[in-house]
Amino acid sequence: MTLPRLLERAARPTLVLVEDAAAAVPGSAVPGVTYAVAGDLTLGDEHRWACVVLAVADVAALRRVGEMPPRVGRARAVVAWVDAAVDPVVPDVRPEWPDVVEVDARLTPAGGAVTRLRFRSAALVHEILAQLARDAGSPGTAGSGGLVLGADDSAEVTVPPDVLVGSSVPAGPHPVTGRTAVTLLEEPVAADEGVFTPAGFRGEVTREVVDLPAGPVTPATVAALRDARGVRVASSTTAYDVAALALAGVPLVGSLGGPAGVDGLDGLDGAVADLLVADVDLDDPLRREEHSVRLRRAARAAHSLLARRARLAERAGVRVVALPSVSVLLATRRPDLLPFALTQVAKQRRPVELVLAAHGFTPDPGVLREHLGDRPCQVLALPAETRFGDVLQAAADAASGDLVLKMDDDDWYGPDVVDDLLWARRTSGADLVGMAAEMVYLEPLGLTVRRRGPAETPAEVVAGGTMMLDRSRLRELGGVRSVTRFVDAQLLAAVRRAGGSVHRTQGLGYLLRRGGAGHQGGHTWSTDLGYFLRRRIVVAQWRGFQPSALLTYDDAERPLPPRVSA
Amino acid sequence: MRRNEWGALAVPAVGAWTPTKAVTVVIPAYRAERTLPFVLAGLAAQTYPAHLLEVVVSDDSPEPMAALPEVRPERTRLVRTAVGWGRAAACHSGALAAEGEVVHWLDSDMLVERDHVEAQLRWHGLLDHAVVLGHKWFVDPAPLDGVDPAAVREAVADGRVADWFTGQEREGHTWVEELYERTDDLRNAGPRAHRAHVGATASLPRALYLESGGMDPALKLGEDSELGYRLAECGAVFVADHEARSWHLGPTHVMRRQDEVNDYNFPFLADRIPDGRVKRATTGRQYAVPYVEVVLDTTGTAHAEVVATVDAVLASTVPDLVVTLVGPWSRLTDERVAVLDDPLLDARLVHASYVSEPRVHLVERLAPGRCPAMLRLTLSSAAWAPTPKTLNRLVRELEWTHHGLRTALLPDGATARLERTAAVQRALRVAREGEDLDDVVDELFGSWWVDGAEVGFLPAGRVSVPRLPGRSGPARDPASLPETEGDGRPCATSPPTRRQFTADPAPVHRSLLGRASARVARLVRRSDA
Repeated sequence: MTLPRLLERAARPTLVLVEDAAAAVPGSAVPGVTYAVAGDLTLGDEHRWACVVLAVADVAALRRVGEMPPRVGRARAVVAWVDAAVDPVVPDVRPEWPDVVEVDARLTPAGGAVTRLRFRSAALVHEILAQLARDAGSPGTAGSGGLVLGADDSAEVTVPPDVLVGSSVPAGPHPVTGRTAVTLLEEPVAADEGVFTPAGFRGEVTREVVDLPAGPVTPATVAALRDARGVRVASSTTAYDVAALALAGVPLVGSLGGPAGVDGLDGLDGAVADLLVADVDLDDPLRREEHSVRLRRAARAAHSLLARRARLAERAGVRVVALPSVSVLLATRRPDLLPFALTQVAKQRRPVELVLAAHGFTPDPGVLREHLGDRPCQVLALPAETRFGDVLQAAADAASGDLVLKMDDDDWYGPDVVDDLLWARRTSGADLVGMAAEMVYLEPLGLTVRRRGPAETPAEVVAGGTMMLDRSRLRELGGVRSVTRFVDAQLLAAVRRAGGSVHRTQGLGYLLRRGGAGHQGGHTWSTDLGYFLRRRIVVAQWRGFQPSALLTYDDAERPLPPRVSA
Repeated sequence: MRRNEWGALAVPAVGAWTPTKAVTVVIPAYRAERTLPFVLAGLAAQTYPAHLLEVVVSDDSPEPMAALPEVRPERTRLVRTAVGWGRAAACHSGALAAEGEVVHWLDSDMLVERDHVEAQLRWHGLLDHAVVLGHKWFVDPAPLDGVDPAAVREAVADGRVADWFTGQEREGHTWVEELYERTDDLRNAGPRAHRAHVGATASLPRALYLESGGMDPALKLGEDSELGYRLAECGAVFVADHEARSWHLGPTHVMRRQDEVNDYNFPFLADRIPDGRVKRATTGRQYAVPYVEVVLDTTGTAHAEVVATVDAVLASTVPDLVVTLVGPWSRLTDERVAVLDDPLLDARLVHASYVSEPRVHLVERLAPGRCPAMLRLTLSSAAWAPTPKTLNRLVRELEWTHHGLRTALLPDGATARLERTAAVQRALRVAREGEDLDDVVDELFGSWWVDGAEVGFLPAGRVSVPRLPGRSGPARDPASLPETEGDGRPCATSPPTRRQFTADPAPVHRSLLGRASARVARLVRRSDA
């Protein structure tokens, strides 16, 4: 199917909405079909169309329109046409809509997507479009976090905007807010992290470094570049394109012209620009993925919708929610490991609350002060005979954060682990996010191994020491099961039983410790070490303590020398 | 430097450095009166400082050379080949007589360019275990007939040698050039770089030469290949220097009668170079230099465990291996003891088990120095025995990766370490004080850990090597004997399979149908895998 053919067969009168005037309008002269730029048209809710078609370049554009959908009246048929797409846009049919007669979501042979909804009676078009926009990206990005954008700040509006979009001038302090809306003078470069996600990142490549193909960057562009070792951007590439690719974790390199090659990228954040010209050995899979992660981090800090929201909110003087707050649940029965474990928490760049559940001992307040400083901390001392599951549940009950994150007492954590997990949650929308136990330090051997396996993907299992989920969700799941071992497996099973989803993000900032003081509760030898050496498990080995460069640490955190000399 | 990646060395340009090392050019000479004067004339025109350049002509001719040609470097000596005969004997005598820190082989039909020695010597200042291979073109020496050696010396000094050979097809050393081509001039050859070792023009530290044991005078051909292998075993790096140019006056032996030379060399080199795997038989034949030495310290270990493990090793599909058992063998005297309560009972039974097995060596302690085999597998415990294909798997993966060390980890923390002798020796050369040798091996050649269970180690008690079938019973009528052993199995002549080594033997399929269906099942499994 093509768009002209679709329009030909659509019931009259048909309204075709496009994102901006620059968008090509196919077959403009068809009788009975009206064309309009989405932002320019406002009609009453009682206006009737037989069919409304929104035609956009990609789902990012669909979501931009859907953020402030035009009020164009009602229609019995609503269609979203996306020129280039990876997945069909499957709508979540809402109970408040008129009865749905037909839902048809598909990919077109030309590489686009089309979604058609028909109703028994005419539905409000802007509500349908807003829902389609939400369904086209990660559910973790839904909502505006408290910042209201709008085109109308007249006194009779009950939900007035903080940011006035469009050409109108603010009318002055609004009776509802008591303040004057700000205008959107200069749109910061922002790409949609709910669309341009790292999902699909591939560690194994089949193509060398390629030039970024001409044309706008869409999710389809990203999907087509996943098999490349790297993607070279030129000075003609727009800052938006770079931001979108970087958010998606595409390993970018600047053009051969060096720094000059990126000077032309107007509005591009300095940290992202620096990464474009960084000296990275993309032939080394670990260095390549580290580069990808650094790009994601820099882009999400500067060019995500969340960053844009924060910037606008600051200008408008509005309080908004950025990312949810986190309580770290740390249970330990080993006082000797406490300083190490506290260091891993204190390292985190994102502020967290620590709930320390000391299992069978009372922590020394001096040690806590020394390693945590004035970071918020709650300390529980539980008797040694308490079941491990109950220890964690006690910690969860004491937690005050929106989310809880279980950390283990003997593993290494880079300073961005909490941040990476929060973003993985935002961009995947999963109920439980965690990292793969991808990097493992086999302490008795003095060997670091990297395990095979995809990251940025829905998963059955994530490392127990990286599991993050909503605190109230945990409560709904029945909390942490009262067991003595395999606590993590219980939680994952509970999420799955409830129909929840689990997402595994990259695990470069996390290093699992095996066979040392760790998981065997004092045993000196762990029989599962051989598992981490198996051919199907291992992709790389390094002698010594060799975490990813993303895991920074102090000398005091280094492991003791290996016990087995072999 | 990693493996043989000599490109990492920052070598000075010819003419842009200050030589300090004394070099002795050793020329093995056998009836070389036609070309030797040109060779010495070429050496007399070297840019290398005369006070650092010595020449030893090692005369191996049946009728001793009367005198040295007149045009020659100042310090040129004539020695007679001392022991044996042939090129190897001549080279060795020359090297023993050499006073220089570096020995530079030069055949008696090699006319060198003026900076040939200088080019080679550049490398020896950078690395004390480099073997430098010079470059040569094969040409017809006819244009030099009747030319005054003094004129040759002038031409070399002026860089005009090529004029004599203009119009001639300059031939390279074909198979060596091909090897260079495949391996980026040996940079990527890894542990196989020694295969390019041909001696017509090459140089190496005299100490390295002596450490390797020197050329084997028993070899009349192929001596360079064999020395190359041993130099590699000592940790040598092989550098192909195209700037050390020379002219080989006439084709070599090997080039003229290639096939005959190869046929001749085959048994000698198969015996001495385990790296030439394709020359060795897969059956249980033994060779002078084993491919793998398996080391096990039996001290204080129950004999049943030791015997199970050693028998399993001997049943390996790697046939050219030896086993070295460390134990208190000299304490096994004939002093009267309570036989079954002998405190040395275990050692005595291990000794009795292998004293007659030529592949097993019983030693009190491991001899210091270089491992006599190309690879050494050290079992830290007799509690774990390999299945027949295990050693081959470890070895194969070490070879495919060019690594220097592979360690199999067993569930109780025991290990089986496979080391490449060449890598260990190189590491010993370059390791700094206090450095962990395994770290150095890893840096130089690479290393890898594997799961012992995955590569096929089993608890020694679960491994049993099949025994021969019994032959007892009453006399039977020869006309009614079955064609197979009594149990229906074919006579045990083929090497044992892994299945025979497992604790739960697979059912024996007695019928043809049963055997056929088992085979189909195996094929299906294999194609699934």
